Amino acid sequence: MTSLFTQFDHTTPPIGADGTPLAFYEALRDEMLQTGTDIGWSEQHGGFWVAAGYDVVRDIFHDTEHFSNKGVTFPAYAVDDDTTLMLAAQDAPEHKKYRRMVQGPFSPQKVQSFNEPLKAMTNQLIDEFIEDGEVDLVARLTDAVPARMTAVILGIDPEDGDLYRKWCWAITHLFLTDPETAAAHVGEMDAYFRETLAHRRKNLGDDVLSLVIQSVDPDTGETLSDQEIKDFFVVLLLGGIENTSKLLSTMFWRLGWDVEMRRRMQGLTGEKLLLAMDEFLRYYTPAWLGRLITADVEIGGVQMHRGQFVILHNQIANRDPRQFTHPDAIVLDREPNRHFGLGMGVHRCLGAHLVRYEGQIVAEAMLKRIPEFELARPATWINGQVSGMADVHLRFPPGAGRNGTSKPALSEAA
Amino acid sequence: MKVIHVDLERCQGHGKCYMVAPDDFDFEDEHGRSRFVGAPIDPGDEKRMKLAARAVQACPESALTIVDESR
Repeated sequence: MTSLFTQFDHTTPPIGADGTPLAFYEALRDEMLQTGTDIGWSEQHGGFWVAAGYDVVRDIFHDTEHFSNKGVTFPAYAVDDDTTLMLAAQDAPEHKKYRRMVQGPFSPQKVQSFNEPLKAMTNQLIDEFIEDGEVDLVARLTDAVPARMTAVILGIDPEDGDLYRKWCWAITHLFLTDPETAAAHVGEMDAYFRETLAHRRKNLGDDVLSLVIQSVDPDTGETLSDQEIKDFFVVLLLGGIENTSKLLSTMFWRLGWDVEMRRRMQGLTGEKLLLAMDEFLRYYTPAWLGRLITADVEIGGVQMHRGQFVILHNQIANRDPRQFTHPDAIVLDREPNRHFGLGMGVHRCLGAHLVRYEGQIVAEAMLKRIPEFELARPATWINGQVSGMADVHLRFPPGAGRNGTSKPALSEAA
Repeated sequence: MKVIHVDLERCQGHGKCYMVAPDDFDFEDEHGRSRFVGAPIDPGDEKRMKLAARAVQACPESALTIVDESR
């Protein structure tokens, strides 16, 4: 039997009949179990390890002595030479120092204080298309909510959500296909950032950018440089938007054709919906993560060498039956659910509570206001370090906006 | 009486314990780590003991243990 690991390319997994790479992940998982290959070797991208078993992935997450976050994106993102991905691509002690500065605003209690603004922006966005009877939910809701929420947290204009998404796209995807345009977008972001920073220094608020500007290193007493603040800005934009967006769009795609699951979701509130978000994070895990091996180490029966890369394949580890019973089924009330959808260990997602909370609020509002919907056409899966549905066109019986005026003429004309 | 001990070396602030038992846990701002803030649990209090066991199970880092209050 030829090994699926040998030709495995985590950036372009084959898409199956259902429109997702899940069948391929399941096949890799099955090969792992049959051959005892918890860590395989791929010959793509110059060669790299693929960690697929739950236990080895967990062990690597926790072993920061041998595994560095310098390899968190592999191949690397196109950020300029002065820029490291703040937090995500850092190791101790820098990582700990910076993470401590921004940990506070992302605690579970703080996140719950976003309840009102989150609900309001979600309902406003739904108002804008509910009378139309059809929508690309990604453009109008699942991309828009995280972009606006991230803007609120950074204290920048939520109405510029499209701009932020464009910059993120340039950094994570466009540089591979069109580096010139990508560089132009990143230049635009730099200019926007410089202007924002200059203004914010004079008008400090309670947003995270103001918090970072005012942060003082407890050891040296120094504040952060402009470059450090920009690195925070970039990583919070990247981290705040894309993962949440892909989680939500893939979830609504599923609910668009899985009517039974939609009915069950409609019966859930509060903590039960948060549990469901964890299950979607496990089942449709948006992100894989890379590590650079900094010292020779034996793990999972293989000998790894300094300078090699390993991909922590969260999507496969999250379907390891040795950790999850019925891993190929969505069990909305799965508990415990110790998945890797938000990472694990010291680098676990800073916005872990926010992602789930955004999911809860958006799912609740959408399923209540538009309880019946179906897919208008097949959706488009997008690969990448963060993967999921890039568009989800839905058709539904037109409803009324919250101001009560329905516009039947509009939907008839459409 | 029992309390839930949080191993701060292991805790990474996933918040799963807080999700299960919001009255029993709180998070400190600086590191975002969990701490047990609930009243000591009577081992005969089946409901609270069950909740505590769920919180322990839910922790992805295996940072929680149920211990005697005196410890």
